Amino acid sequence: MVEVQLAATPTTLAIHATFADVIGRELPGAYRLAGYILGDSTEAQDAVQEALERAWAGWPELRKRDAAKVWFGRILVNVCRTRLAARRRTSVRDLNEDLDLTDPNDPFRASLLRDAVGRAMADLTVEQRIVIVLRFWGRLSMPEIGERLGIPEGTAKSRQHYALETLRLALERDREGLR
Amino acid sequence: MNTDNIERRLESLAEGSADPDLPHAILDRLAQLEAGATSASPIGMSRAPRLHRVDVGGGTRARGLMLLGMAAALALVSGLAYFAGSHTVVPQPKATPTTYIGTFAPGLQDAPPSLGSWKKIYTFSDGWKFGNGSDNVITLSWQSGEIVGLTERHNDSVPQQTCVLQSKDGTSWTCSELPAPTGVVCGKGSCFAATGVAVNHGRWVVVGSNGWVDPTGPYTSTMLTWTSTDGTNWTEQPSARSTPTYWGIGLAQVVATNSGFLTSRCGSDTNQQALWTSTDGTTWQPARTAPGSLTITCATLGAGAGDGAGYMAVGTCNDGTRTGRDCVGYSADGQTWTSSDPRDAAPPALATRLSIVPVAPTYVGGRWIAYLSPADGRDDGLGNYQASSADGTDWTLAHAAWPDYLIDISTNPTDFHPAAYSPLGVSGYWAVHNGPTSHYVGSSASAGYREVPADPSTYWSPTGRSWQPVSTAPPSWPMAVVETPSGLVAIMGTGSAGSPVVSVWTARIHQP
Repeated sequence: MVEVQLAATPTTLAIHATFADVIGRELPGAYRLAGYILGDSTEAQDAVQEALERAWAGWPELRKRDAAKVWFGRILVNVCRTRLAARRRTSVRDLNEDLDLTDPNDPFRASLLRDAVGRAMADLTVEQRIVIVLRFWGRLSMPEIGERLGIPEGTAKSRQHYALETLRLALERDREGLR
Repeated sequence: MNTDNIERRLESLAEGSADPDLPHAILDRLAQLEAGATSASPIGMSRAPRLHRVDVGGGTRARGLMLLGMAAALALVSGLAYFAGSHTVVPQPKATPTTYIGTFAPGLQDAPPSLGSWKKIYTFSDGWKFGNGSDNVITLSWQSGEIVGLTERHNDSVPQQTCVLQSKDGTSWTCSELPAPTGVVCGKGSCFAATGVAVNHGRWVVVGSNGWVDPTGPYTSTMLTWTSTDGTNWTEQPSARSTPTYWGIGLAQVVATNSGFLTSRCGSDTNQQALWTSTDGTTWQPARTAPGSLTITCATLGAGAGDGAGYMAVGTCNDGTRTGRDCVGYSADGQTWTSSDPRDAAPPALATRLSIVPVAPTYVGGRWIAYLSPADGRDDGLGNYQASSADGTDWTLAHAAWPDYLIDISTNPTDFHPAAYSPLGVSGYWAVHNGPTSHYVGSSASAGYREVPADPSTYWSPTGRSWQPVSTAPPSWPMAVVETPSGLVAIMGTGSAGSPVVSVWTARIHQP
């Protein structure tokens, strides 16, 4: 077998790269994803910091450094999921009401509230909301979402399907209410 | 209004959404962590207190340096993508494959079979109602003379239930629930994942993982195995759990072999063999690496059709100096594996710019097919390639149109949903979708999306990549489809959130 000289692609470089090299690149995107999952910049900042610390703690054990992007992304989503679940455990408010408690000038909240479909995202379950944000704000494909969440691709597709259906029904209800 | 409109509105909303700058406090925190790393192992260092939305440590100058450093690192990483490890500059080749790339001619069947009309033959009316948004048919395949599948349901209020489906012809079904992993008490929501099922001479094996049981960490997964002698009564095998644990960037798969079972897992330990074999599903051994070959450490499996075709795994290898190197493994018996690199068929200037796409390899016309795409994710005119091999080790490359019209149906169904795809059947691969309006297909890496008509919406492909429309599809939302000796069988939901009705449809296949 002929030995192939691999290019020093980001993937192969990641094996020898430092924590800041690898994870630092992911932070802007992570902040954006956390912002739209949580609908709040303050909480997004906390979530990213928490994910950073967890990633830091696990970094020495992560031998497959070229998969660090997915690994960190999964940590971030888990942190966001925990925060969303905690909201719902401690309150019967839905996400719309949660959003009402945030700064009206919050950039993530304002972006979501400018369209009815963004407002309707409050009707989604935690898992559905995560899939929708990863898909549309994170621009991830379904296989990537499955990988990111550690779930079968079919499950990711299912969650997206029902999320879209929920949004459709919410918008129809909204429209009927206006008539 | 349909969900296509919803998707477009979401796309538009996301496109126009704010993209706030990363708060300085996050960068400061990263800098604090990294500063600790330069003098001590992260494990042993004392953890700095977490910051809360205030700029601590490092003033404007330090933050500026940090940003500059990160930008430099990004530029370095991007720039080095064009340098080979020998420090010689590798030019970015334009796609001129005809000068040095072989011809891809695996002897494909060039005409799809015709398909009779779809008929509803069964409605699930037991406890499996598929209606709460977390339910799905994970796999559906034809094994040992019957349809075998996996389905699961769970949400925030219902504990997970995972069911092994069995049906001779689609007209009646049994659903046998997997027990929770031994010693694990499942609460509400998901608890484990079952991702593959195989049957071999009366022995049944299901593989999966506990990948996301605890959202607080430690972000590792343990591979789980269930066995059964009848497909009905299942036992989880604690002795077959993987050690050390891994965090699963690849989902566990299992296939039947002449000597038992073959499974793939993807470990965080890059020295660990990804392929394991077992005669009974209970005791597993790492597969053997052929002399001169590399150890395969992460793999997506593909099984050949027919005796002697063997097994292929696409993933990464450990060559002792570079972990996570793209590679392909082939085994005639599933026991002993020979590694190879399809990029060997390309000149170095091209090979260095390609990566092997980690999707299941396909076997058609007596040849294995693997897929390659630009390693740095940017096409730049390089294009995509497919590699074919008759023996699983010697490869021929051909320029591929992928991603192209319906090409991505099996690898990027995001843009072609809802749809279901079959494993390889006698006729080839099948996909069904029920789009009431047009859909977009393509990949996120493609230059643009192409719009395809809603009908016909049953597609056929000899390779699993290049698809041809055949006929209409049954109504409602397709979750899984499989080719059986008597035709196609598809499981369809209603496509309506909260609706409990799931039905089974069949259509007869007529060979040309």
